[in-house]
This record gives sequence, structure tokens and C-alpha cells, in this order.
Amino acid sequence: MDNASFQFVLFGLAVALVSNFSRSRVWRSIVLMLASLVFLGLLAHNPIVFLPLIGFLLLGYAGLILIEHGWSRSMIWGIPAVVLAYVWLKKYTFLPEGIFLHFPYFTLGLSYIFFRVLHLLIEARDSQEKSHIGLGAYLVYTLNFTTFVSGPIQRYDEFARDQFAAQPIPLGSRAIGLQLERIVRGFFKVNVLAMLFDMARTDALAQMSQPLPLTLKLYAAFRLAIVYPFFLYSNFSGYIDIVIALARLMRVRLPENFDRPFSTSSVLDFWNQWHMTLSTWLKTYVYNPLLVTLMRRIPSLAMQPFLGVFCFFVTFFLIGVWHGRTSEFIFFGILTGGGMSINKLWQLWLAHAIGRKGYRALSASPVYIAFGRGLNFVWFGFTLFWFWAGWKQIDTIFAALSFVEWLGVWLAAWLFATLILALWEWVRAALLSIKTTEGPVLTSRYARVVYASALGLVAVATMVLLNQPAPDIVYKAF
Amino acid sequence: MRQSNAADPGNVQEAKLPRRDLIILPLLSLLTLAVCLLAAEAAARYFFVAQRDDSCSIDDSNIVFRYRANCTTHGKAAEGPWVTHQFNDCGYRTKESCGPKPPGTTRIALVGASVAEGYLVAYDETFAARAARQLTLDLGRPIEIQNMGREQCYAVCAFRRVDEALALKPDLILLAVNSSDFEKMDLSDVANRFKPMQPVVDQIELRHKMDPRNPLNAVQDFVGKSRAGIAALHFLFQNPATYVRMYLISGERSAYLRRSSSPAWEKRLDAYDLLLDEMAQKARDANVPIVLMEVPTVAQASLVSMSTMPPGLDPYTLDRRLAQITARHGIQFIDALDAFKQGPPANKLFYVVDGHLNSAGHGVVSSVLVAQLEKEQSAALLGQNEAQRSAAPAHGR
Repeated sequence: MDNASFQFVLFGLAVALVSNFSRSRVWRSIVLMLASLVFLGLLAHNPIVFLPLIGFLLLGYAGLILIEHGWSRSMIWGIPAVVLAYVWLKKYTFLPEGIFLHFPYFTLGLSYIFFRVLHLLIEARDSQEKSHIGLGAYLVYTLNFTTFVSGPIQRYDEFARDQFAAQPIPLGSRAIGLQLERIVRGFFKVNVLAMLFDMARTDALAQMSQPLPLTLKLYAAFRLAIVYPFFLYSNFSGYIDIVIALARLMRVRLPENFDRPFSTSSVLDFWNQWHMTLSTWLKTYVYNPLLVTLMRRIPSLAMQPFLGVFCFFVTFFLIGVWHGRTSEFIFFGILTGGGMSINKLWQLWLAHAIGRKGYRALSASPVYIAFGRGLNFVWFGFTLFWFWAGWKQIDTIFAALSFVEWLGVWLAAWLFATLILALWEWVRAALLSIKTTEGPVLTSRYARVVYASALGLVAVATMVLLNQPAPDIVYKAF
Repeated sequence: MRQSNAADPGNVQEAKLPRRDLIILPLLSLLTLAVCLLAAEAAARYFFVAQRDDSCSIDDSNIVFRYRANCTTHGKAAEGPWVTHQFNDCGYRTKESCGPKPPGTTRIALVGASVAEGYLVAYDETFAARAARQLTLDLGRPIEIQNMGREQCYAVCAFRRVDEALALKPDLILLAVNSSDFEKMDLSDVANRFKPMQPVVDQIELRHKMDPRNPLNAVQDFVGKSRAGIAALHFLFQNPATYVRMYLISGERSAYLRRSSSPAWEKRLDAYDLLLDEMAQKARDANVPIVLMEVPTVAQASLVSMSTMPPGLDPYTLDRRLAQITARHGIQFIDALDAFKQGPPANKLFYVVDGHLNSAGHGVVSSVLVAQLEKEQSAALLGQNEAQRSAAPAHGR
């Protein structure tokens, strides 16, 4: 149930159906709460394992109550306490082993609950208008089964706007059709596309450690370099498609988490379109406050761009670190933050070197965009080695080829990504240009029915043929 | 793909679907499904041609059917190339005649099922033909392998062919088995091993006979014979881990991969112990050594090359049992599984859906066979009789 399985989709559709028996906000909230509790009950049968999670939720709610009662100063320790509790419960490896709880407990979804709880506390502290959030609303928001496992990270005000609205948003046949099509698309992405990409990666990984001719090894390394970003996108965005559509069928609009990330031509833009709710959260609660604080302390105008570079590094370093508990993720954070900073410095240098006008012209050049897109893709693929592999495995992979051979592999991957992504953009634009009076043919309901039927058939056939559990969602581990 | 509900603002009253769309859209969906299914099947039938030709099979009172002498057929596995099956004057898949052994030639009689026959692999690429060539080269004297391998000739059938094998006056009998020999073993066949053999019941024919008017029969036949299904599985099974996961679902069939096999498998292995005892006795009386070689399945080969073994599994369970049984009867046991640990992964050595070894897989088996025969059976291969062999130092028999 904690993955994009048939059971999860059927469960979500059943909850959506029951939720729509009444438009009353009380009914819809009761249904969502009960469904979320049933969902948790299906994931773990022993109530004891939920105790740390319950403790964490109560800690967050206690902080909220204190702020509501005017104890804003308590947040000086409240927010660090929530962060520490999170780091402790997640057993980050930099903490001593002896202080951890030594019984198996439930941590699935904790990372996403952490963001929601912190967001509530910060907003409650900073908001001019003090509004009360009841325990029921707090739990419906934090435990919402559609966002529990892997997000997206929704703001409370957006959730409350739809969930607790006296007049819920309309849900007609057109909207239902769109959501069903999106569920099928997401299901296909996770269960077919991601699985195929994962198979390709496993195959390439195995070949890297075999005594094969150099050409075959280079080809395996090339596949290893380019396949994982596609896998991760299919796996995560497919799951997000499913939960967004299920929530919409329950008349709640979840925020989008992906917006064609591989179409972006810079690292800076990429993180605006990849795991958008996470980067937005960190920009709101880390980047902006940090930048404002630094600008107040260092008022020099000449330094301002470099303060931005530093804040980018800190923010995206934290994004990297959030993904895992081990030193690999610290390095992933350094690479992610470093990539953002270097990209920003490159922009500053280029604007300085060729002038703003020249820089704008260059940025609009299709060739520059295409190569930038390819570079961004391979950079992301490179950083992801520290995301999916441990140090030992990384050592083995990189030791399989010489430095010059690896350089050749990455250059080939860059060129390949540049060409393929440019081709994809061109084909997509060409297809979307075929229009009727109602809009592009490709996005018409008739076209959607055709490709949803075809994708659904392939996905079902794959599931039946394989007869195995749906693949895990990578981001549920974080 | 922009993943958004851009067409679904949510907060405005949406335009209703035209009523005709409530009929058109479901019909369009059904039409798409039908077109996809037919297109997939047509494409798979074009790219995954499969043909079986039984025209060389003739009835046989001892082993139900055998291959006709001097007959040739052509066949193709969906995943493999076109292959010619040519049978000699005894109906064996061997170029050399089965007549009297030429002076100075060493003859090996190979008995087994499709794995021995080299089913759907070109003759020169079967492990039998490769091993004969290599042994001839290494030992400096002609070595011929009379390949009596016949599709579906499992353990009891092989037992019934020992006399036929001994009639060839071989210097050595080689039994090739794999898990199918035990999986397909019917214990009543073992009990009735001296009575005429019952033909294998064709399950599809039986289904049609039992329920001739059931329209589902046609659907089941279509699905069972769907080439699109084979094509899909072929691609999915390229990942050994996926193959193993799915194979394990087959339950009892895969019990030989568990650390301790099931009671049903133990009973079959006990029965094989009995068969092998009687076969060994006959061979001893004829002064001919027997060698038993276990050829791995796709699942065993996949498991053995995995860096981490899934819990509870052990691809060597069957090998160990066969080693125990053969040791009791003074039969040399050749375990080919170790050779699959290194080198290409299982998906490159087998027709993964069909389950048979491909040409590369036969190459691996041939290398092991040659090395082990040269190590343990050099006397027999050099044509020495039992007295001469006894005088020579013993090699681990």
C-alpha cells in the first residue's frame, strides 16, 4: 500500500467515492481522517511502532498551541526541538548510536510530516492573524494519506482552503476523466517505465564489474550515467501523478511537484521544476530568511550577488542532506549546492563579461539552451551516483574505467542528452501545434482516452506478466 | 509532459461533456485496446517467429515416441534462430552413424531430454558436438557422441533407454539431467518402469475433450499461444532478478531452489536414486562407466551469479543431493553450475522464456564437460577396458 500498486489506487478510488457521498466538510474530513488511519493500519499492524510518530506529532501540536497562546518566544527552542526530534528519530549517522530508540518503529512519511509541522510552527509564529488549528484539522493535514508517503509538501492554508471549504470545488465528468487519465499515466510511469529504466541500470551495473571488452564497459558506463535520472523521474513523478489525481477526486488540489524538469537549461531552473514543493519550502523557509539576514548584516551592494550564491549553496546543500542519513548524502548535498552556486557564478560572470544584453541574447539561443539542457541533465545524473550508491559501490564503479575513459563517457552522455532532449522538445512542440478550435489535438479528451487506454493496457499486462509487487517509490525512504 | 491540472481550475464551474462523448469515449477506449492487442500480437508474430515440426517423431512402444532414422526437420524457438535437426541411422542427433564403432574410436552414449538433444540449437553448437570436437582434439583420437537426447525424455524415459545405449557398445554413458527430470517425474511411472510407457496427456486436448462447447477454450488457447506474451516476457526476463522473482512464485516447481527442498521433491529424488541404482548395475555388468551431468536451469544460473543471495534460497540444493546419490552408485557427477558464476549473465546463456540453453549456454556446459571428463574419465576415453582401468591409478570415482 505504500507504493503505486493496484491496491493503493483502488483504495484511493474507494475513499474518493465515499468522500463524495456528501459535500459537507465534516463528512469529507471524517472520511479522509478514517482513510488515513486505515492506511496507516495497513502499513503496520502493531500500534506500538507508531508511538514515536505520535510523540513527534504531539510535540509539533504542543508548539502550535503555545504559539496560539502567545508564547511565540517558546519557538526559540520549539523549532530546534522539532528538528532535533526528527534527526533523532531518523537516526542520522552523525549522532551517537547509543541515544537512539532500540525497538523497531514507524518512520515512513516522517520527513514529509516534518516539513508540514515546521511550516505550521513558522507560519503560526510569523503570522499577524492568529488562527486556531484544531487537533482534528492538524491530524487530517499531517496524516493525509495522499501526501503521507512521498509528498507533495502542501501548505496548510492551501489544504484547508479545499478540504474545509463550505462549498467544495466542483468535480464533473470532465475533471473525473482528467484525473483517471492521470492515474493511468502515473501508474504506467511507475510500474512500466521506471521498471524498465531500473532494469537497464541493474544490467549496466552488473556489466561494470564483469571482465568485458572496453567498448562494452564504456557502453555500460554510458547507460549508467544517463538512465538513473529517467528512472527517478518516472518513479517519483508517476507516484505524484497518482496521488494528485486521487486527492483531486476527493476535491482537494495538491500542489504540482514536477514541471518538465529535463526541459530546463540550467541547474537553477531545474530545481524550480523538480521536486518543486521541497525546493519551494526550502526557498521560503531557508533561502529567503538567510538572504535577508545576511543582507542586513552585510549591506554592501557589490556583495549581494555573492550572498545569493552562498544562500543557494546552503539551501541546496540542505536539500541534499535531507535525502538521507549517511555521508553519501552530505556529498550529494555539496554537489547539489555546489552546482547551484557555480551556475549562479557563471551567470554573474557571463553577464559581466558580455554585458546583460549579450547575456540575454545568448540565453535565448536554441543551441545554448540545448547544450545547457544536456549539461544540466548529465550533472544531475552525476550527482545522483551519491544518491543511489554507497561509497564502496561508487569506488567499484569509478575504478572500472580510467579517468580519461570516464571523461569520455560523460562527454558522450552530455552530447547524447543534448540531442535527445532537444529532439524531444522539438517533437513535443510539433505535436502540440496540431490544433483544433478547442486546442491541441494531443491534449484533447479523445487523444487522452486513446493513450490512457493504451498505457493502461501495457501497465496491466506488465503487472500480470510479472505478477510481483509494485516497485517501491524511491522518495518514500527519505 | 507538463503534469498539471491546467485544464482543471477546480474553482470554476466546468463545461459539461457533450452527451455523445459518454458513448464515444468508452467506445474509443475499447477500440484502442483492441487495436493495441492485435498490433502487439501481429508485431510479435513477425519478430518472434516460432515453429515446431514433429514430422520426425514416430511412435515407440518403449519410450512413447522417438525420432525417425535419417530424418531432417527445421524448427525455431521464438527467441532463437532457425535450426535444422538431423537424425542419423538410429534417429539420434549425431552426424556419425550408430553402426559398429570404427576401430580406434571412443564412443559416448548421451541420454537425456531436450537439454541433451540441444533442442533449438544448431547441431555444431550443442554441447555434445562441441565436446566431441574438443575431446578429439585434446586426446588425439576420434571421440564420437551418439546423442540419444530426445525432447521430454525425462528420468524414467532415460532409464528405459539404458539397454539401447549399451547396445551401442559405448565406452561411456553420459546422462544429462536438469530440474525438469525431477519436476516432471510421475512416481507411478517409476513404479511401472518395466511396463509399457503411457503417452503424455496433452492438457489442451484434454481440456477440449472434457468441455467441448466451452467458448473460453478458444480464448485460453489464444492467450496460451500469444506470441505477444512471449515477447513481453522475453524483454522482462532480461533482468535475472526479475526472472528469479517470478520463477519463485511457481511454488512447488521451484522448491529445488530452497535451502531444504520440499517432501515431494525428496520423494522424486529417492525414486531417482532407485532408477540410478538399477542403471548403474546394468552399466557395471556391461563394463561401461556412467557419468551424470546436471545442467542448470535459468533460475539456478541467475541465482548463482547474483552478488547477494535472496534469503532462504540456495541454487546448489539439487546439485548436492545428486552428488550424494551418484556417489552411492559409483557414478561420476559433473556439476555445471559453478561455470555459470562468472562470465555472461543467465539472460545471455538461455532462451529465457523457453528455458532451454542457447548456443552460448551450450558452450559453457561443453567446457565443463570436457574438463571433467578429461580429469576423471581419461582411461575410458582412451578406450581402456575395465581391467586396464583397474590397473591405472583411480581418479576420485
